[in-house]
Amino acid sequence: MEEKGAEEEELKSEIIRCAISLYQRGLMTGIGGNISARVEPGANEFWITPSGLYKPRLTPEDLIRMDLDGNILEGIFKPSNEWYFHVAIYKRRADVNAVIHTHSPIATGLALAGQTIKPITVEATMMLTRVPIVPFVYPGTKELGETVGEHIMGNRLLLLQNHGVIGVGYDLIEALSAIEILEECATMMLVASHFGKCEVIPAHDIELIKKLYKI
Amino acid sequence: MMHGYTGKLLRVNLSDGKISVESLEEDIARKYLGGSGLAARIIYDEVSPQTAPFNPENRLVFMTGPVTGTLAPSFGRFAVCTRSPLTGIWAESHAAGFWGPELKFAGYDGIIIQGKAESPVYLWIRDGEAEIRRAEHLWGMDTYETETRIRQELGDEKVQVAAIGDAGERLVKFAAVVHDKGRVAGRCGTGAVMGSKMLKAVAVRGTKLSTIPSAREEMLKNFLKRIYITIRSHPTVQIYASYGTDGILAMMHEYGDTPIKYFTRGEWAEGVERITGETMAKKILVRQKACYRCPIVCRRHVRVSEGPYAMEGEGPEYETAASLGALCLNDNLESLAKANELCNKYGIDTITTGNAIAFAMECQEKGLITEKDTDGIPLTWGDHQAIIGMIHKIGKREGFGNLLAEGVKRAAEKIGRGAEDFAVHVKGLEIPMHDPRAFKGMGLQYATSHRGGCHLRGLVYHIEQGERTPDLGIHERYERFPTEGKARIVITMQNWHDVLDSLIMCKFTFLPPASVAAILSMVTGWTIRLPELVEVGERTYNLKRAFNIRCGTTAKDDTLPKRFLEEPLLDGGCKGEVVELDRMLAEYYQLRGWNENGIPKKEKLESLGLDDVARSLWK
Repeated sequence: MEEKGAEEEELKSEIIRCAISLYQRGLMTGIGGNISARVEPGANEFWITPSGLYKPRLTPEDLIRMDLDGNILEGIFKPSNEWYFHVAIYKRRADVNAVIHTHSPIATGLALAGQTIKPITVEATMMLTRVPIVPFVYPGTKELGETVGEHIMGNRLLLLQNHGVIGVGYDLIEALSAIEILEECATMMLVASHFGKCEVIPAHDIELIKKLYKI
Repeated sequence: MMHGYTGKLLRVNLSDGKISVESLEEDIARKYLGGSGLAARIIYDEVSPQTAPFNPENRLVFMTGPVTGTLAPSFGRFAVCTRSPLTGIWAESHAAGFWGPELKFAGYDGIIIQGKAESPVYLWIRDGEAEIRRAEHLWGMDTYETETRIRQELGDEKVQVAAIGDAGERLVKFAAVVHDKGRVAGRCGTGAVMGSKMLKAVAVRGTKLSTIPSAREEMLKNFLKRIYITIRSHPTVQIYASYGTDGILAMMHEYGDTPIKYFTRGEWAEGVERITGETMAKKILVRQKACYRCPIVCRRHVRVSEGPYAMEGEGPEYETAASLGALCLNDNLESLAKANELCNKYGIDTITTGNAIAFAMECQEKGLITEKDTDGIPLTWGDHQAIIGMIHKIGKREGFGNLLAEGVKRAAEKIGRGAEDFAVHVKGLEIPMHDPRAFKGMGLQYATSHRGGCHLRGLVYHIEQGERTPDLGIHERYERFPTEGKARIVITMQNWHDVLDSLIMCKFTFLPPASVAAILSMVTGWTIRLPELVEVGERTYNLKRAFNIRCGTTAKDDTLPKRFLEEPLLDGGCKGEVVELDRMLAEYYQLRGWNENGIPKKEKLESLGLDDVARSLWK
């Protein structure tokens, strides 16, 4: 029991470390973006960052524990407005234990221009596979939750039009890495587009992914 | 003390009720690891070629591996090995779920079962204590009910049960061992051998451990925190997680890989669309499920709310959706969910069942059998009611089902009049749902697999889809139709998959082989590097081959059904292709160190530390 408690405290600390790290790299603003993680793999409860509290100053006791019915179980602050889509994802994807939402500027910017992520590096191809652009739905609404729930099947990342990015993973490292690679890939595409073209990996070399994800 | 292992094997003689405990020595463990590799060593030593599969002296070995039940992900599997009643040669079938780890928590790495009980029994193992219990009251129950009843009577919901159903009791040649109401050691008829011993179930529970400690536990913990992303970065994993294994159906159909109408059609997009994992997720999926410590979560829990196919429980896998679906031209998803449930409850292999029914449909189409032969069931293509009806008949060995219960090879021999010509199997094991005309290396893999027509002993189509495995020396990109170089990659992947089957690791976890060696080192405390691990795979592959040679396998058996060698499909993703097997096979024997008769050469066996096997094959 003691060990379980320690693991949960470590998980809460990791959520904070992720938030600060993303803030420091400009992928989250002080009040934009949110992170959650199930208390343990497959659990029906999760810890989520609070709404409106400045990210670089977050501490583990600021986090809110919720269940998949949207009930608040622990914590005194208001949970992130976007808890609807965190719940929607956990309900649809038993393999997902961590959800990160950022406002990654370059990836989101490309989505604003209607540019989907292209298979430009092998790492990006393996990790990003297919990143759909989800049409605009007003943030913080139940409707956005439902829309995200519909789009998350078969995908690790979503680009929310006029909003930001959602990355999911079995653990925080996977969700975080997906967000990082997406921004890296988007940056490369931005640089390439500045010079007028963006070469992609030959289709033949990523045949499996192209057929599997219909990209 | 060995880490990872419990160091103990349980031996149960059902004839005289004697139960004993044997030590697993470290040198044997390191040489064969566990799983089907270690089981092969035991069976090779203890089952003579004169011992028929249903002879009480045949062994039935349940085995785990060194990593089973540790913190490491996707290793929670167990193997069931024996001499197959379906093929007469080596048999191994594997299942996931929770039974394997629980056996280790109960104190054993494996169980060797021999003899035959006078009346039905089940084996109950709890915290090192084993007991043979009466099972007359369970005989006749399906596998799901058996699991529930055993838990009730033992008063512990955490007991893990591996059981046979009606089919195993009635010696259906492809009867399976079923665990957790949907995890199935399906192939080769291991459940029939269990039935022949009058053993209804093996129930296990260990209350003193919840994980098996590793030698470098902290290092392993830290490693695992960083490795999930690697496991989940394989492109198929996101698909398996969201849509189950049936999530690959549309893609495999595009390749011409998914067999349609008993391997005679290459294209059926409109039907396939109705039975994909995506469609399942939209129509009948309730939730995903995971096996022991698995980050992939590919199991489906489905519900058909009403109608003749109403059910709730484990949903169909790709192999099931294809074999009872596309292979029989059945696009009714609800019927597939029901068919899957019935096969699991009777305890029969869905791959062979789908093959047997599709074969019978072709027999009827060709006029070799009529409705009179099939007990009035019209076995016409796509008739899902007929499929369900025939599953009942096979499970109970009733009427025409009694013939199909023998498997396609024997059924074809009995029907005769040319039926053998289009019976699709290798060495008596029906072909799984990957057409080798779409991936030629798969043809060579099927022809040479030690349990007959088997896709899981190599999964070479992954390489032929362009995947590289630099750790195993596969640096180039292989195309699917050419045969050049295929012998080498088939051998490489067969050996590696034998390693995975010894550890025992789930094959959907595409961890780089060097990382697998690292996990094994952290668990056992050995420093075991990749070349040593690969040699274990080569050793066990040759050992199983030697077992088959002793059972009478010859080079003539290393072949494919005529359909793949001579009959190209007229449409679809592998239109116009046949498998040029001879070209690949000669090179395969040479690279394997086998002679022209397919027998491992003496020096090859000796180089693998199989001197005694060399002596017995080369007297």
